[in-house]
Amino acid sequence: MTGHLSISRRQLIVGGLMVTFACSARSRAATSEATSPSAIGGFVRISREGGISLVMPSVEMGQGIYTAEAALLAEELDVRLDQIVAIAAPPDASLYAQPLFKAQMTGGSTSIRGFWTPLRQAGAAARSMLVAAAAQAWGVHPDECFAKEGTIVHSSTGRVLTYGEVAESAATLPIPEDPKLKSPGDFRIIGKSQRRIDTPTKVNGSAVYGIDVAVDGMKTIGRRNRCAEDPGRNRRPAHRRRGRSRRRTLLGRPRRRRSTECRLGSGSEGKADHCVDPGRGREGGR
Amino acid sequence: MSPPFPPFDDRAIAQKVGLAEDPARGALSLKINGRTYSVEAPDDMPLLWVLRDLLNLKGTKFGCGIAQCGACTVHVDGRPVRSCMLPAANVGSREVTTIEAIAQKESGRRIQAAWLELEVVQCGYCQSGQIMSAAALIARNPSPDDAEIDAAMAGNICRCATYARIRAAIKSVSRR
Repeated sequence: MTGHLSISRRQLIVGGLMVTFACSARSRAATSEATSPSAIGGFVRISREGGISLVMPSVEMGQGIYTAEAALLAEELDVRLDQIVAIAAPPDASLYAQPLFKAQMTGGSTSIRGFWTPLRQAGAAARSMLVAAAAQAWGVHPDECFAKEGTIVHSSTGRVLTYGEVAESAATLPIPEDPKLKSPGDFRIIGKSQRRIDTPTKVNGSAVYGIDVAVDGMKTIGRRNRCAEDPGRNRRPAHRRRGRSRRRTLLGRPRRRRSTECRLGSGSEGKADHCVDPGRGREGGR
Repeated sequence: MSPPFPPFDDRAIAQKVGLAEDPARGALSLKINGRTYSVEAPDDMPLLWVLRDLLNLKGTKFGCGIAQCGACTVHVDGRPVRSCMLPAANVGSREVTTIEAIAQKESGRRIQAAWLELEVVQCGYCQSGQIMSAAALIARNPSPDDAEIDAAMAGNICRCATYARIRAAIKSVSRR
């Protein structure tokens, strides 16, 4: 065991075309559930074609965490930041829980504190398995090989294999219990100013925000546009409210009711397939 | 209790931006990003929701829904327009351009490059609208001065407060 975080297992999952390296606190038994082809997990995914995806356990909200967490993984995996695709972690607290909160959440300036060691370990474990797989293919000792920018190089002969070419065989190798982490003096990415990796998607409109997520059969809830049209259904202005509601409002206590202020344009409350239909109820009566 | 603001009138807004036309009935034909789409939309559906919910062009963002923030800015015949308050039926035969296709215009391409170069973006939610407004400015005025930049961008707000970099990026594109 390295580090002060309780990483008890490093697991490797093969799912579909992706080879997935996981580094998590979940039990081996629990992880085996995630080995079905449709399951995804872990932090590093390498496709046969050589695409390298890094799974971001924290939510990017402008704080730059995609760049920082990608740097931790890419540093130990020995890939450049411009070689990777960052993808948002799916909901799965057993793999992506914030180690300090023990829940899948982002906040409180904890992302790097919490993931500093686990993400580096995940990257280092994946790299050492990829190197081992290449060494096996060449019939040489792994110590004679080194990883560089998504490839494995055999020092004496100069032979090169890409991560994608050995990803599948790497997936069958044992997971190193104690992958060797780089010493800070060897860092190429961590600690150096980097271009943000999320910016390109944010200048061409392709970045996906919460409001952009759509799932099959999803309904949209629209709410009355209180600010523009009226103070809201059954609401009086604060100074005219009575009793508890008045006290709470005037004292600035948090209301337990959800705010009814508009979030979705012209809609009053209601569910529909898009963000205008809920508004039908406004004229037609609910 | 009178409403805190007068009720918003989509038609009045449409008139203001020169887009008042009798709303078409039934299927709506819209020219968006060089393609013609036919959509079945409620008469008063704002262009924003036609783009986002019916055509799945989600780069254009919903911010306030009342044309106060600029997150939903698109181009209609090259002019920046708040799509949340513009009924799609009033667009008529005009060309709509969204953030997804702004790179096809030279002004848009240059603005996007400047945004990348100067790392303007933080959370990025307002930036589609910012870029659309900036691209429209540069297209009609290739060398805006500070006052012209501020005037053109005044309708786009940014909760991360990236204004200083936005202005710097537009100035870097200015041919002045």
